[in-house]
Amino acid sequence: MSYIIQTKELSKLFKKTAAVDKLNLNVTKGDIYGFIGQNGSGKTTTIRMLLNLIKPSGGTVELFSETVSGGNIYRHLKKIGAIIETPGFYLNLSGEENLDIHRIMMDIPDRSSVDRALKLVGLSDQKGKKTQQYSLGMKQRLGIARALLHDPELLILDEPTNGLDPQGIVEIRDMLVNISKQGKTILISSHILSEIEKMVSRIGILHNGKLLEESSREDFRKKCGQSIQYRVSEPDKAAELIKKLVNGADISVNEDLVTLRITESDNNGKIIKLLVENDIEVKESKVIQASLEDYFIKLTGGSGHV
Amino acid sequence: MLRIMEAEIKKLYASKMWWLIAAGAVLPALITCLSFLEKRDTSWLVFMHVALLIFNVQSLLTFSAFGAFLYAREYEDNTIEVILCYPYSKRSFLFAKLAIMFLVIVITAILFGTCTLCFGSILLPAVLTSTLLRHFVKILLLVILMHFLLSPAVFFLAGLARMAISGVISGIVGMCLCMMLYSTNFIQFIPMCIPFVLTDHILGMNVMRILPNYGIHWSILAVWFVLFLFVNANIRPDIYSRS
Amino acid sequence: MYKLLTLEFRKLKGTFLNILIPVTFLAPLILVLIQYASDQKTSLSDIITNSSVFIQMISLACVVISGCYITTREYKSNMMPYLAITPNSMARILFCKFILLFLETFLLQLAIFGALLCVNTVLNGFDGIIAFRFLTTGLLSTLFLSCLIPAIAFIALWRQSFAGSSIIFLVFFMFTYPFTFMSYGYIFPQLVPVILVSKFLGNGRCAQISYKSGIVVLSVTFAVFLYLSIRSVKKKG
Repeated sequence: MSYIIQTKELSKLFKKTAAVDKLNLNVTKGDIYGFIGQNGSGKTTTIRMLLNLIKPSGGTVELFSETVSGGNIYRHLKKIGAIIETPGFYLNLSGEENLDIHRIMMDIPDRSSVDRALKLVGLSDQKGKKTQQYSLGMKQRLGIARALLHDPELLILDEPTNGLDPQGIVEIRDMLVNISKQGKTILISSHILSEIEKMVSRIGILHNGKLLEESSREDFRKKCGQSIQYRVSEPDKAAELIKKLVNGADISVNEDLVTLRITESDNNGKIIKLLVENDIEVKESKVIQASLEDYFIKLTGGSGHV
Repeated sequence: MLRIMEAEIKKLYASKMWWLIAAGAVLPALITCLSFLEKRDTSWLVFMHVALLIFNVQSLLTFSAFGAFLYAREYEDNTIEVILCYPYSKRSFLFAKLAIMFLVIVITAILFGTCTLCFGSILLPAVLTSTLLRHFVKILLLVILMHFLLSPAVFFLAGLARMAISGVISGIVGMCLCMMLYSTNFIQFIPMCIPFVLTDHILGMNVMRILPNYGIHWSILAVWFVLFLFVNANIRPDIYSRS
Repeated sequence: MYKLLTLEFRKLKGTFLNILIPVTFLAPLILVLIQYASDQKTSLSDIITNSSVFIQMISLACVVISGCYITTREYKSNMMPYLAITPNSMARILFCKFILLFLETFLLQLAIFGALLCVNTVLNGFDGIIAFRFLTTGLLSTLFLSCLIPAIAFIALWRQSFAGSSIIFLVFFMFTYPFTFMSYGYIFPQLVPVILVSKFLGNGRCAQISYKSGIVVLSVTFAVFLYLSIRSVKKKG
């Protein structure tokens, strides 16, 4: 499997505190990798180490299947577009001029790439305005335009939707999904799980500098689990019957609601048939998918403010 | 390298620092002209001496403010992370900034020289001899070199303080040192004061008392340049230490 | 008002001003002593008189830097909306900043001229006339420099940036500095405190300007910029 990003036992100590602790991150080609963690969990520190902005205290970083060293980092940086937290700009220059500087630095002869990037993020109308007059959302969009301008193979985006309105978030999400379809790899960090959940293909959960879990979105969905809720006339009797049918069933009763936590929903038809045969009126039955957010909170011991 | 320089020049576009350069070049000549408005029988040598002294003192502020702005703006505009994510080494940026600094010093010195000669021609009845003109041009070239040798120290200070104001403060300190200590022997060993002291001597005015061997002064400047160039090139900036 | 002033003092905790002020106090002292050590033929009192322009220059630079910092710090920390919703008028807050700057200037001048007096007493013995002259100079210097505080605050409010405003003021000051020794130097208000204090200390190079014209320029500068800065802060508030 070809890894675009791979870290091995990557660690960063600030004085004696471990901001990142023996992190083993695996991002394969074409992934949209969601890097999830609460504030201060070590996401930005990890991203800074990936980009060689800070030196790791231990472990290694591999980019494009090559261990990063002082000699080859600049070759890799050509293939990376990044946003780290709130992007900085030359405030006395317009958005267009800022992108033009980036175009020169990345050695892109085609001047129209600036216009294309601005159009992509919906800033064409504001391109002549000085960036000091930009709102936070506009700066974020311009940061994304800058990260995309040189058509990088790998995008590293640290909280890219900060300051964007809901419509902007949806637009950026769709844009990233489209970029990923072109074979690009995206690492996106966020603490807003609902945003990440809808676009990522793989997820890594970081907590207190440690990678708690890393797997595909589908695997996470399975782990998150489902439950079936029945609104019935005799909930206690219904719960007893379901327990007899499903071995080791995790059932809870709340007023007229019986909730069965399951991993597969194959038993649903059998359960309804059983209840009806026992003269229990089934008013409603629905499958509930547990969210990633619930799973995250469970995983981090309930301390995840997300 | 050329690409980085092109980007650096673009960054300076629309910045107000060009006014500083213009003022740094024109004002010394203008002030000299105003000083001799009532003493028009002054010789070209004295006129050039005063103009060069004022230029050397004011340039400490002009170039250190410009250098600090050039270096510290990445911190002030929060673009340092962006810069460090470009596929160029930190040294490439340092050398590009030094090259820009050199260009700025050259342009300022040429502008100053032209203004001095123009104002002098208008004001002074005496004729400028070709020997003195050649001497003046030679001194201007040396002044360019001397101020350029001070640049890495300005960058170092700006990188340390992460504020463009550090350049203004160091410039003012340099100006005060030049003006307060000009009567002492000690002044010739302060790197920032060497252009001020040496120009006076090379022009043959000898107002300040210094050692006759200029090698010492050039050595101090060379060591100052190499030392801070080395430090700037090798220090890995811990850009998050204050975040 | 007292509470606001106390708050302004508390906001100085941990800032670079805690280094800048001692440095400003020590710099003239060190420079004067270096000159005295290298040329003992001239008396310390004469060296101080000859260096009066630079002593004032250093003090002015400190007042400008701290003035710009104190006035713009709320802009830098995005605290303006917060200040605007507190039950204190912006003019009142600005007035507290003026008082703070005045007190800082007063203490600084007192420290500089007090220290110079102490050194002079140690080297040459106590001289009542010199003591009186130094202390009066400290007070006059405070008054003259304070007249520039509204102008500094106005530039800081206009630029809303500490670095930008201090650079403008200091660069303008340094570039016009050679006019200090010219008979029409008083047309630049920023030079007037330097000229008048140096003249009071007996510096012959600054004797061409009368106290009257200098004080008039400073008073007009104070009044105009006080009005402009209050108007500016009310607009933005």
